[in-house]
This record gives sequence, C-alpha cells and structure tokens, in this order.
Amino acid sequence: MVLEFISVYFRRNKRLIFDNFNLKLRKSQIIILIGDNGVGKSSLLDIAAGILKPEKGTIKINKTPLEELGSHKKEKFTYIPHKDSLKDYLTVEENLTNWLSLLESDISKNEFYESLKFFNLHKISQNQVINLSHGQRKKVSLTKLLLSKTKLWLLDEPFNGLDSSSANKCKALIHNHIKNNGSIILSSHINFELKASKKIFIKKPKKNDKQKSFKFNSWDDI
Amino acid sequence: MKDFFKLLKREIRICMNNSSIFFSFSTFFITSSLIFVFALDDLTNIIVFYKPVVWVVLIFSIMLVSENFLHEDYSDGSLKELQFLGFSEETIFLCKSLAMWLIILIPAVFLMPIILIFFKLSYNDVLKLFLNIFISTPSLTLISLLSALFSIQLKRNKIVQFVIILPFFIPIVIFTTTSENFAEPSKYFGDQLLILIGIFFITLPVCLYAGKLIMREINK
Repeated sequence: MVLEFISVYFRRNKRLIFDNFNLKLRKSQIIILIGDNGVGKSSLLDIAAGILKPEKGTIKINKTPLEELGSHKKEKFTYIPHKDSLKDYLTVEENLTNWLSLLESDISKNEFYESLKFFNLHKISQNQVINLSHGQRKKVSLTKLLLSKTKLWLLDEPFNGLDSSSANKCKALIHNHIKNNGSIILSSHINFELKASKKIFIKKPKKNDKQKSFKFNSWDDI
Repeated sequence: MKDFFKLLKREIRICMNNSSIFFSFSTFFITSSLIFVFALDDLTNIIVFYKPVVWVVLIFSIMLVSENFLHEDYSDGSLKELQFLGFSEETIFLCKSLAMWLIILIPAVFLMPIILIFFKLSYNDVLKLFLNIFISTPSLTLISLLSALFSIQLKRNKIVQFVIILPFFIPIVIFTTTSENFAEPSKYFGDQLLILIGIFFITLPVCLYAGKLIMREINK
C-alpha cells in the first residue's frame, strides 16, 4: 500500500469534513477525488501531505506513519498544491532550481532542460514568473513532477488553467507515471475520464446531520 | 543545520531579486524622518527629538516590510510548500527573519548618514545610533514578522494585531532612547546594549514558539 488513510476524523472551521474516512492507494493506481468547491478535496490532500493534522486516525505512506517521516517526506511524495508556490520576481529557471535545491535533487542540467521542453517552457525559461499567464504558471508548477523522482504524486486540480493540448500532455505524464509503477491521487471539481483511475465522490455535509455540525458540549471537545 | 542553510540561501536569493522590498523600506524610512523634521517648529532643539522620531519611524518601516514579506509567501503558497517539504516552522520563521535582517536592515544602516544631515547629529551620536540599530533590529525583525503572521491568521484584522503586538516593541524603544538621561551616559550606553542583547535572547525563543503555533493555525 502506497498511501493509506485509516479511520480519519477531521474538522475544519468547526465543520466536520471527514468522519471515519478510509482510503487505500496501491501501486500503479490513480484515485480522482471529485466534488464541488469547498467539500474538502484540498483538505484531504493537505492531510496526506502532513500540512493538516486529523483529530483522529492515521495516515501511512509505504506503511510508515506520516509523523515518523519528518523531513524525509519530500523523498516519498511530490505535492503540487492549488497555489503555484512560484516567486514572481524569479525567472522560471530560478524558481525550479530553487525548488530542486530544497529537495537536494541530483538532477543533471541536461535532464533539467529536457524537462522544461515537455510543456514548451524552454523558450520562456529566463522570463520572470510575474510576466507569465495563469496557464503558463501552472505548467511551471507541473514541471516539478518531471523533475521529481518520487513514486507518489498528490495533485490538487492539476488541469486548472491549462489549454487542451497542455491538459493532454499532463494526462500523458500521469499515464506514464502509472506505467512506471507510480501512484497518483488527484482532485478535480469536474468529473472527467482518465484510464485506470478510481473515482471518489466527496459530498458536502448535510446541515441537519448531527454528526456533521459541531456543538459545544465540553471543553474536551475543543 | 544543513536544512537551515539551504533555506536561508533560498530566502536570501528571493530577497535579493525582489528589490522593491528594500526600496519601500528605505523610502518610507527617509521620507517619514524628513516629514518629522519639517513638522518641527524650532530646529535649534532638533537633536532632542531625533531618538524617538528615528525609532518610531524605524519600527513602522520594519512592520511595513515584514507585512509584504510574509503575505507574499502566504498568498503564493510557498509557506505551505516549505511546510510539506519537511522544514520545521521554527526553521522557516528563523530563516525568514535572518534573511530580512541581512538583506533589508543591515543595508539600512547605510542610511544613517542621511539621518545625520536631517537631525544635525554628531559622529558620536551616529555611531551610537548605528550600534543601537545593529543590536536591536534582530528583536524588532522577529516581533514584526510575528505581527505579520498574526495579520494573516486574523485575516488582516489590524486592530487586534496592533493591540497584541505593539506592546512588545515598548521595552526595546525604552532602552534605545533613554541613555542621555543618566549621569554617566558613556557607561550607561554599554549596559543599555547588554540589556538590548538580553531582550533579543528573550524575544528569540518566544517569537519562534509563537510563530510556530501561528503558522500551524494559518493552515487550519
């Protein structure tokens, strides 16, 4: 099992998001999280990345609890969140090399420039990110996938802002990763088809559901 | 430690590329000091006022810069990215503070000759001011970055932010502005610097701990 959610209970802004949530992601498998805006897709990915901590339950990556991974998390998975994490005043190349230096990646210059070519970013590699369009910024952040050597990818709305040809390239990238025994969990607010994928529909909690709303009973609840 | 230097290098590189931060700091600092000079009626006593003016303006300039410094990181998602890359919140906070101090506040010391012209300061006064700024700005940086984190957490609720954070600046302002009131100013100046160093060693762990807690809260 590459990624495992075991009985996860998570509340955000006093609202219950996940109660006894279980998920298993295997080798060469894609899980697509589908749901409306604000249902908790990004929260689920944030929990998997260890940014948010569930109140109850365990998250395991390759059978190791997430808390035990510490700074080794970056060797186990690559997370591309909704926000691109790019610095406006740095060039495309500087942004990516900065990211690689934090990962301690030993990628060669040749490999680096080849990766830039995948989304046609080599022509704009010396441009400051502030001058790029939303789609181009998205492509820069997706290029991180080509530069990473991890088997598990967590992708938050990867197709947002991409034109159709770039979206197809992204799909090809995903399929290629799966072929190479990789695993992916991605979120989307649009229901779309992707080969060999398993879909999970996340619904908004009902207001009248007792479990879904948080009521103050004792200080221990807080 | 390796992680710390890696992150510090990244922060310095980002700071150096975004020169607008330093320019907004220096412009605010110089123009605000200049406005005070123009606002004073009797310029013969201008030397009496330079300490409170310089320190209040300096604190507000640092607060202005630190706001931009962290809001950018929060809005582009890089604060989150650093957290999932496995950097501890303390390391992130310390690296950001150190980068801000090295790239923005140390060069600001070179603005001191301009202050010398505005307030007709002697060489000795400027030297004292330089030492005071050098020793107290690390604490001011830590507190103002904490304040910026607060503003993110409180969704830019400035009133609460100022009420909570501004009192932390008071001890530093007191010990940087009062040396002339004592009988032996030269002897007192050394003690004053030691007190400022002491304040830094209290501020450092408190800010690191509070910064860590706020950073965790921001993502919730």
